[in-house]
Amino acid sequence: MPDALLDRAARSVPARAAALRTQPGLVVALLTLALVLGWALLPGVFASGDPLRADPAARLLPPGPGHWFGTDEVGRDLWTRVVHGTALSLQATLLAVGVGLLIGSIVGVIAGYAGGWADSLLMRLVDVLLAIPGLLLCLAVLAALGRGTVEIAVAVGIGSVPGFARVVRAEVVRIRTAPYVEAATASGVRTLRVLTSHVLPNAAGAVLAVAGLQIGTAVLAVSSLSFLGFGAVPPTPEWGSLVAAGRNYLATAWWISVLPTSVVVATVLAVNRVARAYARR
Amino acid sequence: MSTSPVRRVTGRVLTAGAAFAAAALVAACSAGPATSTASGAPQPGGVLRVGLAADPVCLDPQQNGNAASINISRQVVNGLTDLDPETGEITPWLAESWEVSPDARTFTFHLREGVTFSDGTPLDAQVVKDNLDKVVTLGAATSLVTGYLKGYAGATAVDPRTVRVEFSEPNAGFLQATSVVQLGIVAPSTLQKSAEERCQAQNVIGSGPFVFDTYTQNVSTTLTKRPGYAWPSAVGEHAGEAYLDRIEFNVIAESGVRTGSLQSGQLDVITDVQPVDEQLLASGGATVLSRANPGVDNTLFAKGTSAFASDAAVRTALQKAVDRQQLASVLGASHKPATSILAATTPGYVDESVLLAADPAGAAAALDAAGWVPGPDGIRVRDGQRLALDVIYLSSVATNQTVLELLQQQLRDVGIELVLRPLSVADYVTAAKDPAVNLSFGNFTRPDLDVLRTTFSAKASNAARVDDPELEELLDGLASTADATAREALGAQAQKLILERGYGIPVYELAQVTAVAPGVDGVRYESSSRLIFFDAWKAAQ
Amino acid sequence: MIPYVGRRLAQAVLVLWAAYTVTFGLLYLLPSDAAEIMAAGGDAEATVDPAALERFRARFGLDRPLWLQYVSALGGALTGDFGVSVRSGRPVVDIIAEAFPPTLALTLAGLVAGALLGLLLSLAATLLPDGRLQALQRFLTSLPALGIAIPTFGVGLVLLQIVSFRWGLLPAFGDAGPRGLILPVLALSLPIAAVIAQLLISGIHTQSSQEYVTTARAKGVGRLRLRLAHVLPNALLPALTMTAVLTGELLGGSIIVETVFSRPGLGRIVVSAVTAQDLPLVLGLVTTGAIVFVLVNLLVDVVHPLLDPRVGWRRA
Repeated sequence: MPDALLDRAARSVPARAAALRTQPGLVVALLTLALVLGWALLPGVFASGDPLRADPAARLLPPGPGHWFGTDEVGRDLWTRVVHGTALSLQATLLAVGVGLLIGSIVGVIAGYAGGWADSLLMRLVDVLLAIPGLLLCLAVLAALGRGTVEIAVAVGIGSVPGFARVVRAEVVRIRTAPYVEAATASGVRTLRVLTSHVLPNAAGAVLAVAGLQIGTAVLAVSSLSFLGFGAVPPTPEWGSLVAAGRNYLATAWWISVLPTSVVVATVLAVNRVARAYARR
Repeated sequence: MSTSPVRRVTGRVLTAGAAFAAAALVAACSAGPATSTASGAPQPGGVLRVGLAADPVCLDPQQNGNAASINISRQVVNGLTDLDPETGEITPWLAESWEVSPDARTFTFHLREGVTFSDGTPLDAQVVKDNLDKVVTLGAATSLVTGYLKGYAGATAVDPRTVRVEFSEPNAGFLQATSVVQLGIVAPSTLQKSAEERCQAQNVIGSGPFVFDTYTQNVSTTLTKRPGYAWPSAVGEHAGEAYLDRIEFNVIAESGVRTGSLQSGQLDVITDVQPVDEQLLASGGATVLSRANPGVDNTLFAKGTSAFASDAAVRTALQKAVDRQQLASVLGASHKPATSILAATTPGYVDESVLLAADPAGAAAALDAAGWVPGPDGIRVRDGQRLALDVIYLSSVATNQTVLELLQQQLRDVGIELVLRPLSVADYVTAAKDPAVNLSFGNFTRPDLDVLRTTFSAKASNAARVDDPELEELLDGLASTADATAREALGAQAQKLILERGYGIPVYELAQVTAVAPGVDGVRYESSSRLIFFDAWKAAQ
Repeated sequence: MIPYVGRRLAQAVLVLWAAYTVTFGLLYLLPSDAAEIMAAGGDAEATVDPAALERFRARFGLDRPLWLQYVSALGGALTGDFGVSVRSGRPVVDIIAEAFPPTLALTLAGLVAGALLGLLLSLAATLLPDGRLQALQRFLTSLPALGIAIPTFGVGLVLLQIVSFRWGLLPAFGDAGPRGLILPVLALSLPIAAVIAQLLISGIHTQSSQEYVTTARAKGVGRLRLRLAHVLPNALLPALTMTAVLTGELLGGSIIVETVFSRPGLGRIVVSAVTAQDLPLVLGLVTTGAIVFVLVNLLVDVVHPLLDPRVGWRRA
């Protein structure tokens, strides 16, 4: 972690604790994320069963003591599937955000720092990507890559490149023209050094806040693509495909879609809440 | 035909009619005359609103159409013959009578008099000849149809009402093929159009009881009644025109929306009912009709060119490891576990359920004997290779998913890993060509033993990539034997051999499941399990 | 202003050309054999006869080198000819022209409904007097976050189950006039409303602490009047910068909504064309999406400076 961030973190611990006391919503959001993280890292602790084990004798059971979230159409325990699906869902989401963040940052930094024709060229390229509406771009990329969780993550990630590139560029331009950076450049500090020690650490805050919001968008994009028939390869539990697969049972077994959807919604809300709190500091 | 090979035909019009009559009787006893339920004599008039799962895309019956397309075009286009779905007998339609030569190479049809297409042109021998000539060269998309016409040497209009069709090799399946919609007879004006133009509704002119009216992509197709229609096949329940004034086919992709729309009275008939909704619909007063697709069941085809499925021991293990009865519980009442490679609705089907009993111990023994030993994760290994078989299938069929996920678990229990590869139609076409793919999952619909030849012969589509002279000889026999009894004996041998050698691991009989709202009667299935609305009628509201 | 608009127009044309080229490359360099997939005509079990495949290639010009296919396709596109759909044989332009009006009606209605809902929500959440009803205010303020977090297809299917199937109030499918538009528009507008409300609520809060508001309040301008006449117009301006996000949201949302409500339109065509790999149609649709997107943004870029004097016409 860059020094500047560490400094800021160390300085504001008591202040932040005070802030938490006045923001119960943020506390709930943080606890939700902690729980979800727990599911991802130690799924066996929260649900000891096998997420793939079907028991046709116990199919379509409503939520109850034995099955907290009920069972699906072949008798798999939905709670177990949601918990064990967390890791894959989060990986896919982080991959999607990572792809967007990495490519977007590179483009944004070069455009913002170099300026001139390089800036114009790169930002026009970003405009091209932006001009193809997100879901359409995802569908076209999926047509080329084929179906699968990683493919979807990459498609969603590519769709988010323009957003990241624009934010990063704006931040870099803002910081580059700040007096202390101009001073550093004038006193002969090398370009790369200026970038790594001044520009990037200061741009990180805004960019990470956007990345946080993008996590929510990515989870939803993945489930929308599953709905259109481009989901994870079965029978691997993955949140997006769980939500999409349950929709055929809305009239007969509501829990198959409603309960996994609630988990997705709660997670997206929590991530957005935390990202917003981070952005406001 | 001495035996009636069709053992199980549910949802025929009589059954449905009887149910409605009973319901009406109860209503009549308690609350006077029942008007909301279809009962008594059929009433003409009304618009039938049908919900289909997919867009028909191309409405030309002679080109490869999806189920939605056939369900529509079947109402518009008649065939030379019809096939009675209950008895398996071929009955007259546009042809009054016919003769088949003993070597199954020459077929002579005598056409019915007075038949016209909806544009007024009369049906004659020349039109039939032109239809058959055209089908063979229609375009790239007719491999299914050219399978029916294997060895077609030409047709001759002997006189205006007699047409002779000749083949360069025996084609005993051809007579039955004249009953399927793909060989339905269209008007000369349709034949003059290009393959693409023929896909459009206004260019498909038939001689059936309904006529195309409008088509809007992804939304709806409407048909109107043809006044003066007077040549239904003997399978029809009544003579003369159809009862309905119009049929409106709406495309509704979401199964939950189709079900809800029928229940809330926004639709009269819906296709592709999901197992979970059958009970819900029945309890709401709707009638659920189902009929298994005749032909090859939904089957795992073991590809002879792949690494693992080419191993006879692995195929034996697969055949024994599948517990078809356990699958029945998730498939609902309509889709039955397989009892042969063919569905029970196929003429010539033989019950081989003894060969298909679940036997996990036997499967394990077969693998042990072949040197496949359980590995650290429970999946068997031999020479450092894990026994992981990939299976390709169409992601668009919702039931596939449920069934294959359960199969995956059954196979894991004997140490075989099944890797699921759901594919779009386009990707499936490409993957099916890959010799390294171990298994494909799907069915082939056709109510004739010839489907065994078109599916398993090395000279035809060969879904299992079999290279087995013994089987090939039996399949050749199916094409060259005109005598029904001798042909059925060959078919029985072929069914047994395919199962014993594990070229096909049949799983369940894919069925067409349709729900009909109260107040609608007379909807029935034809021999290929497609819908027929000729006898359908709606009680006045 | 004229040079500015001219420059933006030139940029827009370049962007469109690049978008067309990127999509063409993506689609025609697919690992699978485009001709074979298209020739099979959507039947998975069809085995395409090699001679027939060659005829098909020749018919659609797929036997030429890729660059030649590209040049002729681009030349056609410039004159408004996007070729014919491989599956239905109809001109791509006809298919798109037929599907465009229903999608336009849906998205415009969705935009208007979303803007109204978002405006109402943001006013309700900020007009409530401080102190009293704070819980309600907090609840209203948190609603937009919820609206963004629920998948659109879920909203649509639940609306159908309740309003159409249980209560029987509105049709569940098809293009049956304004009544058939209500549920789809509602499902489409919720995320739009959420985005707009979020922006407006934070805008109103920011504006409320500005000096001019304090001054006006000191002069005795009423609370409601202050909000409507002074704060809101200033808070609305930044919403214009969200055009890109909203257009994308509307076009993407319409794909989902049209599928859920079985409505005709571009969204349905996109899904079936991608699934069937009807490449000429996919190319035409992506280009249409890009044209709409570029036009909308061009319009906003030109109009924005007229409304907000702080924004100049110098740069994009």
